[in-house]
Amino acid sequence: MNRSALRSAPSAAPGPAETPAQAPARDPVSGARLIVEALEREGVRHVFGYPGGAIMPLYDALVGSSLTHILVRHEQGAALAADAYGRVTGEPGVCMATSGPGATNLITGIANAFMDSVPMVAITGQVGTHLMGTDAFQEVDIFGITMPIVKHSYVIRNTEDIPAVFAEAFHIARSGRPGPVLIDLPKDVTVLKAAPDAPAPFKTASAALDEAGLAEANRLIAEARAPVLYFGGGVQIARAERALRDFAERSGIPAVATLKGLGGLPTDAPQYLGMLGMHGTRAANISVDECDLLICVGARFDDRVTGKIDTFAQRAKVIHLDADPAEIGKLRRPEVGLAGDVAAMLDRLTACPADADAWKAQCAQRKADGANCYDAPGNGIYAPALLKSLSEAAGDDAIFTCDVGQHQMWVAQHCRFAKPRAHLTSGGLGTMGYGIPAGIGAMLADPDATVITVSGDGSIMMNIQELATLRRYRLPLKIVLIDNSALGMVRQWQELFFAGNFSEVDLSDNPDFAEIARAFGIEAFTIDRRSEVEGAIKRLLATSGPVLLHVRIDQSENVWPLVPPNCANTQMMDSA
Amino acid sequence: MGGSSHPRIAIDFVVAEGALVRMIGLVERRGFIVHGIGMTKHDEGETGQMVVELEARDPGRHLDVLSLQLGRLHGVTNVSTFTPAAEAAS
Repeated sequence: MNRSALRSAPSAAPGPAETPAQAPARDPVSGARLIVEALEREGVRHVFGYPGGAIMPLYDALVGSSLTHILVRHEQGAALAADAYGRVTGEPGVCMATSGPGATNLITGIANAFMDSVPMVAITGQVGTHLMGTDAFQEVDIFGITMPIVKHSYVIRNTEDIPAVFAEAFHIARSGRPGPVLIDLPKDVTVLKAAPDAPAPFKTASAALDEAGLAEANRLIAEARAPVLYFGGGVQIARAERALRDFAERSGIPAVATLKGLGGLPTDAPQYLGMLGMHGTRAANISVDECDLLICVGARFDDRVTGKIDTFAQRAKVIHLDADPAEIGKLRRPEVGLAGDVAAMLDRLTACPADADAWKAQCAQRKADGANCYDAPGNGIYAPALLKSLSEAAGDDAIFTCDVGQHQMWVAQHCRFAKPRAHLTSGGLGTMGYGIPAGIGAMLADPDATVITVSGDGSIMMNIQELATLRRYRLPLKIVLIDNSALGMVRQWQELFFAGNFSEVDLSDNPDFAEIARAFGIEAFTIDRRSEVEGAIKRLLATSGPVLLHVRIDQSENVWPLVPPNCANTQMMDSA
Repeated sequence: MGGSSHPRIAIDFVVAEGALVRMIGLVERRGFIVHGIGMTKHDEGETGQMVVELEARDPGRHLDVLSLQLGRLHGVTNVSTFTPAAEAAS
């Protein structure tokens, strides 16, 4: 590694804070031992992984260390569990795998962390340096393959570089806009011995605020007659919820959240209009459409939020606050763009709209008019009602993890979230199979929390092998499997936008999920009538170990409202 | 690459394994066609500058946004953009 790389980091990463004190020379130790020491120095407690040939020296060094290794049953499970661990703790989740297929199996989880800005360090074994580039057994260029989906990556070619690279990798993963960092470790590098110095700790410099920009933002807020606050996952990543709530309270501005922003403001806050976008509330989407000022905080004008972007908040001026300057102006040119510490900037937005009372009342009325109904006809189980009841029974301290599909949207629409990081979902990548590994990661990150995974019958099969991990570590995850015997979201789109031409969405040959769970040693039960819901929720929450509640629902139940693809958010379809 | 009808972007960076591929890959992935590349090394090979001649694939791709995206890459120390119109004016 080029040593100068460690000294010439960009402004957010100014390099080691100080020269390390002279320590007595140490005896050389193996690269694997240096890696374990580096992880311990970073405060890592859990590592999610799966051993194999090229990474065996590191597994050898784990024995007797302070690190707890969680043996998953597929490397994708390791990366997704590390992702959730990183979301809950705010510190990099660590996953590791061997070379070749072990490394490629991590890719979806790394991409998931990249898309949702999650701190992660992924460690991959590699064939020996003399074999690299020769198509050796289990050789794959994971460094090259992952380049578009990591914040940074390394191949360590010298054992003595290990401490410095790991220190820098953890710093990059957690600083600024967080993200995954990959470290590829040729086998000989982990076997050879060296005695490098411990690296100095990194210190992040805080950038000065844009005073002129803040003044202009305050001017726009004071003049606005119809402002909306639009916040996203950047709020919880920056741990800026206190600042967001203070700003919302003093300004009284009606607020909407993205999928990843849920919990930034409590669901039951009076000014909160709900999630916006494709499956957002009518109140949120119409209010954004009619606003004259849109204050975007930690969000990125994602296509699932904006619909056809040319039609999104057309009449509004935009103030955009984000930790990442590259997000500002990427899709919507703001009148004021402010990059930096989101909490610090929010604290400086002290202006209040002088003449927006009528607008606030209008938004509140829209919210009241669009309140959800839960009195679906029939005796079958109405998933939105079940999830609402489950959320209320579990309480505000519960953590929900989701898979991807209709159930994911129902959780977002019908569960209540009083705090950030209580809702772990694959927002950017949309990874089916995220739910159970994320539940594992969340339980280890916050052992006192009640953790509930909501999955679907398509998604659960993507990583169902991780039931063995739950059982192995006796993690009391509560799984609610919403089973409509179909790939529900795809089926919904085929029904609505492909003239009902159902293609490869039928899952009526699903296995008996309760039997599968029991085969893994996990308690499980099935319900299919509405009258069973209340008792099932009580049993689910009262069970002390891992448990699976299998819920059969009607596959014709769709997610509403829905903005059709390439349409304006005002063109919402509803069930009626 | 002087006198081209396409904009250019000059990227100063710390020389490291993968740095060139990382930068060029980002340029293409973010919606720009690469028409030419030149590179020089400085500081006894520890730093370098890559100049890329490029063209946006559609009007929604902005050079200033690309510049910020390159700037957040670890090891990139400076990014400058040059448009034919601005160069002609100077």
